[in-house]
Amino acid sequence: MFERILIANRGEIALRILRACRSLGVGAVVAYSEADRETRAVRLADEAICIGPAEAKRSYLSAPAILSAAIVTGCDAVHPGYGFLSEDDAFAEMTRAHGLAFIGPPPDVLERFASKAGTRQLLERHGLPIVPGSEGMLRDDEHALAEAERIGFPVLIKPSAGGGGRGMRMVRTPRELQQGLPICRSEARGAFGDDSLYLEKWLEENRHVEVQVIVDRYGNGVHVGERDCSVQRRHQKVVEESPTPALDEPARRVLNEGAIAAVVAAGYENVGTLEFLVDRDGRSYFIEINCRIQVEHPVTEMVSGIDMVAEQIRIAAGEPLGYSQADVQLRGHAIEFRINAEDVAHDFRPQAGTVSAFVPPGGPGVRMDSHLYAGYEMPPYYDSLLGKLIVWGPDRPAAIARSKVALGELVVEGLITNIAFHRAILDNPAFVEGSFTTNLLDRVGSAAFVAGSARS
Amino acid sequence: MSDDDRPDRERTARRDREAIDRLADEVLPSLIARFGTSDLGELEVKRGAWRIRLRRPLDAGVTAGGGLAPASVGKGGEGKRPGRAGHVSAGHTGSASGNGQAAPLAAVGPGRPVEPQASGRAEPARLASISPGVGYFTAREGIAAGMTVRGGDVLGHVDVLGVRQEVVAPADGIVARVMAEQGEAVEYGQELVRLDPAPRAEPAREG
Repeated sequence: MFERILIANRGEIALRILRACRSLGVGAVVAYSEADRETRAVRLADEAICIGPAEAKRSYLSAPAILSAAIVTGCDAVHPGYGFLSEDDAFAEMTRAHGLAFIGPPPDVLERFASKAGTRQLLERHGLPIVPGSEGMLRDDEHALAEAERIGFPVLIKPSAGGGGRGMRMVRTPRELQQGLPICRSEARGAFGDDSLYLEKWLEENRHVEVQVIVDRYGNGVHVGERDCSVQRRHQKVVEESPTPALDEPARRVLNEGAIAAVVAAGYENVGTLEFLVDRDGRSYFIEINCRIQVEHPVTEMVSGIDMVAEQIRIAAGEPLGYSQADVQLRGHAIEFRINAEDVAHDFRPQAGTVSAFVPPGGPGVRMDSHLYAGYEMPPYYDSLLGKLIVWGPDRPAAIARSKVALGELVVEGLITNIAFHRAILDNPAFVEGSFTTNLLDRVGSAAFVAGSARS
Repeated sequence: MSDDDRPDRERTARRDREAIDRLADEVLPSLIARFGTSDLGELEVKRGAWRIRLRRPLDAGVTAGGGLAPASVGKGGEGKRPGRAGHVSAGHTGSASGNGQAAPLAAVGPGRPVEPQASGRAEPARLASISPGVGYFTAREGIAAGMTVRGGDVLGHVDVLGVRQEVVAPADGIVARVMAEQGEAVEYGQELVRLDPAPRAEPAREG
């Protein structure tokens, strides 16, 4: 096991990783930017080190700053959290070159799964169904048009690199395709430094279901069930739950068992998530793999009792998994709400400012992962995530009922938040009956959605 | 002495002009774009020892056409350890606020011993060279208390993963104390060399 881990991230996930380190008895050093000096992880840590200015490029995205910090504080491993450098194979390689362990898949595994198109082909060979799409990257507009006609409109333009919905666009006609390509190309270049694009058939009324896997260095792997992340706004997840209400027990078993068998065969290592689209008829299509701990990992922790961050660290340290699929018992239903500092009424505009009051909710099955405290100053430089409320119940109706109570108790003052928006989702008939699709929020319009729920 | 100063000062001025041009060309446009689409009242970034701050006029509401506030560029490290004090707004760069015009860059040159503008701050003018990065510190040979240094002088370096980053004197002054040992691990923004302001009466300088 490692002796000391450098936590190279911020916000709630820095705190989450710090907790995992402590419960494993591993030392931890929190690396922070100037803007994050007063965060809870920094305050709680035995040791913290300032690695650069607020600008992420010179702090959380600066490999030299992070690795230098790890070396001067005597760490033997780096935990990148999510976002920032978490899936950067060059950073993972650089970490190893400096004699440090990267907590995540090893560099060669990251490299193998770095290209989304390549990963789809690889996992298709290992038995996963994929969404019909273009053959390889789009060479030019003409090629794009030919491929779109072959697949059939509507199609989704997607960048090969990155994630988070940037550089992505759904187009219904050749004309829209022609207009969309340059926009996606420039967005992808700006966000990921790589403008290669591919096409995927757009599945109307689809659901987003993802399978959590854990695979050790020796080829032992388990799945830890799936999460449904269909409540999305412009490809950003808002609410996640497990199990998915979209599939029945046999269908879920097929999905989960297929996913774990494919990634083990393809040589994956560490924790990871395989994302699928599920269509109206319950057919699932693999779309991409996330080689990191995800924001929504607590949903899986609540139904499985497995500490996903601790597992990630253990496996990166070379420990064997130590249990089998039969030992993974999934119980009940869990829902996660991403509490963001954003103004729903004004196109989800991100907010910055000082939190004047923060009271997390409690009760059976209620968990709040948040770095907030009264007096915390939310900096404008990073994402707007204030924390995650995760609620467990023995079944879905119980989890929803507890969630309503918990959201009612949660107090965040001083900033505009999306707490009321979450309450509206819980009242939405489509959510209650478990038929929410990824396009629902955007189609209805989020503001109208909240207003509609408030009236009824 | 005064003859030696001139090329030095010219060099500094040229370096500053180049730095400001670079900031205006490379940083400002994207900063303005980002600020324009954001809801922020004020946005400040640092590039090396330079700071750029965009501030929205107080009376122009967010919806009022989004007129951008004057941009101001200042050089940091003027006696304040950035960050420790929360916001890095050391010294108001008293740009005429409220007019909403895209004002020219108000440049505050380096080496001005603090408070070039009305700042109303009663802070004693303590100067310090701060660490440009996280790594191992080495003071330049011969740097010791009592030594006179000029703004822009290199007082040492921090080794960030094998790359040397210079520790620079923010202004003219006299070394009061070297705050870190040779080879000590230092973090970004850490105070490394504390300076006392240079004595004002220095006839040769105005010569």
